[in-house]
Amino acid sequence: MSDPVHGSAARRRLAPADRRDQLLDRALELVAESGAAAVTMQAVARAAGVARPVVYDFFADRAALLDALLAREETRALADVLSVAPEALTGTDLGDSVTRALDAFLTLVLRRPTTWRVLLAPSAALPTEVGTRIEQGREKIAGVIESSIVAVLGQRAAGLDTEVVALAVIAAGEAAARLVLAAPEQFPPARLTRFTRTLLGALPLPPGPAR
Amino acid sequence: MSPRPEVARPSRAAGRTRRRYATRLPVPARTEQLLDAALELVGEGGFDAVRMQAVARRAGVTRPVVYECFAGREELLTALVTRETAHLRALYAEVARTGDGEGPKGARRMPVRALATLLAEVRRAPATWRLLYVALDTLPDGTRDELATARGELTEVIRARFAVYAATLGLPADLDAEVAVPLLRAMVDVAAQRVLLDPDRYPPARLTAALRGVLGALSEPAS
Repeated sequence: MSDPVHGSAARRRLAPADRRDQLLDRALELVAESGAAAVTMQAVARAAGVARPVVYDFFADRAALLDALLAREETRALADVLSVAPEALTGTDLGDSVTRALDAFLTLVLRRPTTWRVLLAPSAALPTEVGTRIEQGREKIAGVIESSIVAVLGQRAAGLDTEVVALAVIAAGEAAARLVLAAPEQFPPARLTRFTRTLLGALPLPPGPAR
Repeated sequence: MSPRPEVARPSRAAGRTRRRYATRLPVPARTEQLLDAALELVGEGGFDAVRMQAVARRAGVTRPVVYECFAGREELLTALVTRETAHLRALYAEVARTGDGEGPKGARRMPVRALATLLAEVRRAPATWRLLYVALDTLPDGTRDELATARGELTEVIRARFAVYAATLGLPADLDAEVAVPLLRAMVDVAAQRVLLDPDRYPPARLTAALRGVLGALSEPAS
């Protein structure tokens, strides 16, 4: 098959690291537009305006490319979260702390919507190592959340299974991010934070939950 | 616990240990056995792993035996999804009844009891419950829609339970249920997934105890 390459601007020589980043940028756009299945060596080459062998210079095959892409995106996303988490998850007012943390999180999700869309909607088309890596990222975030639970709840955290609570908090945070990404007009971040403020403002709950 | 609807299937162990020249089973029993084998394959490798040959091998029969029951892979998958979505709905119904007619006290206890009921069902029928989380892309269109619909119905169960809880406990009327329900669903999913993936570390009792602890902590005044 012929492999026509147009656009001399796109073909100009890039430093290898820049070229690699550029290829991954195009691959990310392909995932965002049409899902991971759309990422082929040929499609990435075409999107980047280079010949296919150039893509092979950097990635052995499609799986290696996808893995590199997800590794890069996961690293970025995790760094984002870890940079805002310690500051956001402070204070002793539960409603205020949770609302500020959620607001900070959703702000950074919307700063990299494509990245988060990919990370939060893992598809069967992605290699399994990717799932493992995302899981490892969650564990790091869980550690931060666990210590924040203790810091924010103080005495009330005594006897709480913070490991399980952190899992639930992460699941809820991811669900909030999915709502914001899927329907930003229907679910702007402010709607989500209003929810946590209303819910946690209603505390304490009536006493005596299940035995 | 109230009596649950009959969702048990014919013993799987009996079928699985049969070998190539097993005695002939009547077609309905054979069909169930083959669907059990297919369900196991889904749990291990997704719907993609369900091939006529693989089902035959797993069930310990020859391929023509599978073709006696199903014209092809698509028909087998359709039968599997139809059977399993019926099971899922029976499991949901069990959760949906939790705390009904027990007044405010029942409503307060309902979240923990509903989670306990749900996770007990996950434990009892893990292969069926796994269908909530397995990738659907390789299913034929109609079958995929059928399973996707059944998955979504769990959210409706949660929506109804949440409404009962919020009303009975007097949670603020302006609490946004459109936000609450997807967040609750995500938390239910992560609990069910932990039970499926690592039941030793996350037995249902641990997860329900954690929920009870949170609700307890949130019902104490802040110090």
